Amino acid sequence: MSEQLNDLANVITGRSLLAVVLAYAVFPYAVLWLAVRLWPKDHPRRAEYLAEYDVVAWYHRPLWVGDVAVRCLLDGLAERMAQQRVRPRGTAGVIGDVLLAVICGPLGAYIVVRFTTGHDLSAFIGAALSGLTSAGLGAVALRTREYVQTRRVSRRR
Amino acid sequence: MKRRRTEASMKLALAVMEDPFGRFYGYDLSRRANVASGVLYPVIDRWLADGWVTDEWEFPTEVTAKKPRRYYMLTDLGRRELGSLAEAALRAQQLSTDVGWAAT
Repeated sequence: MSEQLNDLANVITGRSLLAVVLAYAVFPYAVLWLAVRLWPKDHPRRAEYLAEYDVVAWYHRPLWVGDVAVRCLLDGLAERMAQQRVRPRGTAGVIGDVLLAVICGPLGAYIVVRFTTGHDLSAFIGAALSGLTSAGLGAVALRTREYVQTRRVSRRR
Repeated sequence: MKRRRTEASMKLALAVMEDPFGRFYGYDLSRRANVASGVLYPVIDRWLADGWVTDEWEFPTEVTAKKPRRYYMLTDLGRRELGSLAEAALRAQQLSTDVGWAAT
């Protein structure tokens, strides 16, 4: 009997104990905590999964968390992407578009002029204006597409 | 509304119809019905969308200091629809036993 206990003591080293603690206590919760973040911020399933983790038996947790993580990956991500597709961008989105146009247009123009004509100021101004216009038109096209998509989804509902 | 009858939905219907007026949470239901969590929640979502179940959040208490759970309860429509689904599941079980297809 004491020999068997000795064998058991040899098997249960500090490292294996640490592995068990990590596999059954730390990793499952960490994975779940990350996985539920795939759901949109206000989705009830986030809090639901975290609350149910407490009642799952410790030896069943890795399996349960794996199951839930797959569900989060499939449904949560799909839900999040669907929400992002239909969400109107608001004022911050418009300001972002304008900033993008103001920065990217002249920057693109500068790069083109720099590597083609050198430091020709008039060419730079011309290219900057055309770059700004095209970037602005692109932003308008993007906003229009979003608006049409949002209208289509809201009409479907 | 006519829904596709899957094995999981039948198992879940049998489990909830054991206590049609009770309230249950996800993990408890998955254990009672012996259905994996990955299968359970899509079924619950369909039932919620069809109005067969409603949900409510547990009132958080300072005594237990645990996270509030989400509970599901059957509606009248749900009791009717899931009752018939559970009956069908029982009939299918009986039939498979009669012809010797029951899992051993």
